[in-house]
Amino acid sequence: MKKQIFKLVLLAVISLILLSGCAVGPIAQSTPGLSANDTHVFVSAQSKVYKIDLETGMEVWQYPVDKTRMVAYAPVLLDGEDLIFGDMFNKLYRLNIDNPQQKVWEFLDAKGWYQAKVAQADGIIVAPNTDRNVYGINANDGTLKWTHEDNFAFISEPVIIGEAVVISSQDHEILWLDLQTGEEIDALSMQGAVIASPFYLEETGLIYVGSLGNEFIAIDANTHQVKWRYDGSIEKLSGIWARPIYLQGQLIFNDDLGNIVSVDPKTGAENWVLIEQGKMFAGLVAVNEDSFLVAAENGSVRAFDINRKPLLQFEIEKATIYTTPIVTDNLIIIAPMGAKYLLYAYPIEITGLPQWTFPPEK
Amino acid sequence: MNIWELIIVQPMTNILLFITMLVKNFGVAIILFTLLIKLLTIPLTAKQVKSRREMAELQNDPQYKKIMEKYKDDREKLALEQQRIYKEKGISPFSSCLPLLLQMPIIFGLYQAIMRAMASTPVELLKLERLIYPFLDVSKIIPIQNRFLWMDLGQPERLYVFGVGIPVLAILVFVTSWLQSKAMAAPDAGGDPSMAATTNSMNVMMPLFMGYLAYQYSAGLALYFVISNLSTMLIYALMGEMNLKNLNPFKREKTTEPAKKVVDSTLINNGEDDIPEKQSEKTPVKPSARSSAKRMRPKKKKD
Repeated sequence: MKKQIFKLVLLAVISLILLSGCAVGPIAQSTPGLSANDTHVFVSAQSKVYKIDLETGMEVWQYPVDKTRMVAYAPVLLDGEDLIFGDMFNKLYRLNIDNPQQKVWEFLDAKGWYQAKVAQADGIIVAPNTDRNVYGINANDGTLKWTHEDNFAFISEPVIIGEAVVISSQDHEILWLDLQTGEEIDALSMQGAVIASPFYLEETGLIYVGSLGNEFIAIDANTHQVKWRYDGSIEKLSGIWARPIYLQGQLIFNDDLGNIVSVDPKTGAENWVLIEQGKMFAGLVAVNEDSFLVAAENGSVRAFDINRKPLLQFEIEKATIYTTPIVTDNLIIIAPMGAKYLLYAYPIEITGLPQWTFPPEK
Repeated sequence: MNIWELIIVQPMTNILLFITMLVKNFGVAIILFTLLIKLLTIPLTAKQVKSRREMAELQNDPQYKKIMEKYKDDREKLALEQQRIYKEKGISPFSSCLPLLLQMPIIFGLYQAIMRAMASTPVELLKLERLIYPFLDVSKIIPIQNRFLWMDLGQPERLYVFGVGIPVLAILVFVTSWLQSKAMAAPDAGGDPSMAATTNSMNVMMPLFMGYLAYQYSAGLALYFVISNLSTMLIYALMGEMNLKNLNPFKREKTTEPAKKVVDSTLINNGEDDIPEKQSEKTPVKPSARSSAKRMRPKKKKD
């Protein structure tokens, strides 16, 4: 009888383990976060943040060193001697850039994940969180200065313009918050959830942003009114997940179906449209003064000049690209998912051959 | 997209999102969707209940009991005899498991649909966007409002009372799972004490485990568990399969007493099933004509 009970209990335990394997909550998985300064690139991916030498591609440090649990995808904000980033264990860190074990402070008040890069101005760190709050934190000591609560998770990097925080909301809105108090100054309705971060161009005094509601608009940074709305040759834009780039007087943006559109930043008049093959969620990146790079979801990377003439094309094997690449003085850094390496660094001359990969190729 | 996603997860996610669009509340949509699935699987549940009932009746069948007793030390023979009785009575012991097995993909699919709909990272949102059928307007659906009553359906649920987080849903999941397992337990396990002990331990283990899942994982899943448990109990009650006496904590187990409705009255009157164990060992069992005929047959020679 005991044997029979044991067998049944064992069977039950195995079933329960299998069931529990299926019963996971929202998946703590996102796209690698990239940041760089003149000498190093920082990548947040899965359980580590790495500091990598730009010249050699060698690891300088990784954080955490020990077995401390951490899942981080938000790009780090570089602030002089320190770096600031949040993880998916609801912690926001300020660490020393040379010795991350030297923790300046930790902010533990949030109840959700940090998905986006934080912004900083006037001694205040603005940190969006999936717990539907934006936190204003004292940059010096990590104490809470204010909280702004909304209806949906905040997953986009905010932009600080003067005394206002401009942030995309999944509640089909762009919000203006007071930098000092976090109070809502204004809100502008959009046609869909706004995932892309706003892009501010001082030259025009306009904020540019697209949403998942098939639209791309320019907003007057002073009046918060829509200045123009894209109404070009593409009848219906698809969802926009990334911010635009500004290159040689042209504002260039892309939607997730691979449409690349150049418009006049002041009027929204269409310069040209480039219909690329392959879905595109990562943003465009300016390589130099007259060319830009497009990274499609399927791992294909293409470079074009400002008049959309193709310059080069290469592919990263088995890669899925969601993170917008970054460009340093002489390198283009791409952080794909599912590829052999976490990072691929290409020379800015665009040869299609990586200068280094991280981890280094054996 | 793999076949599982195409056939199960994608349609379920779209139905769930469609309901969300209609009722404008994801929590209510989970409740309605769970009830809808339960309604659609009623024929399977009915079949399961029928098989369970037949098995329970068989457990109390004197002939079956005698065979169990007679061949308790000869497992091979016992299995053969059991098979014979199943065949005679037209019962398939697996037919009670089959509906449950058929429901498993639906349950897992429903769970995955809920999880997919609660996307909270750009990558998850992207995956969700791709699951949505073209005729549903993505821009109106995404993102899903996870807030329901005091809960964030995407996070483990706690109700904060004076700063203390009480896992209300996890407690409800435990209680409803326990009630369900107790109230829906078969009227009698045929007097098999090992089965009774196993059932008792499972009646506690399963609710504890379900409660743990609800405590640890998202409130959306816990909400699904609660509604699923309650609706299952309701369906069983409507089918007359609820045994509320089992809920009485002071009730003493009567493992040897068969359920009245299933026992043949003539046999009770004969008192055959009241024979004590030792006595029944000595008492020769009158074989049925069919089984006698079987015994008379010469054994086939093994190759």
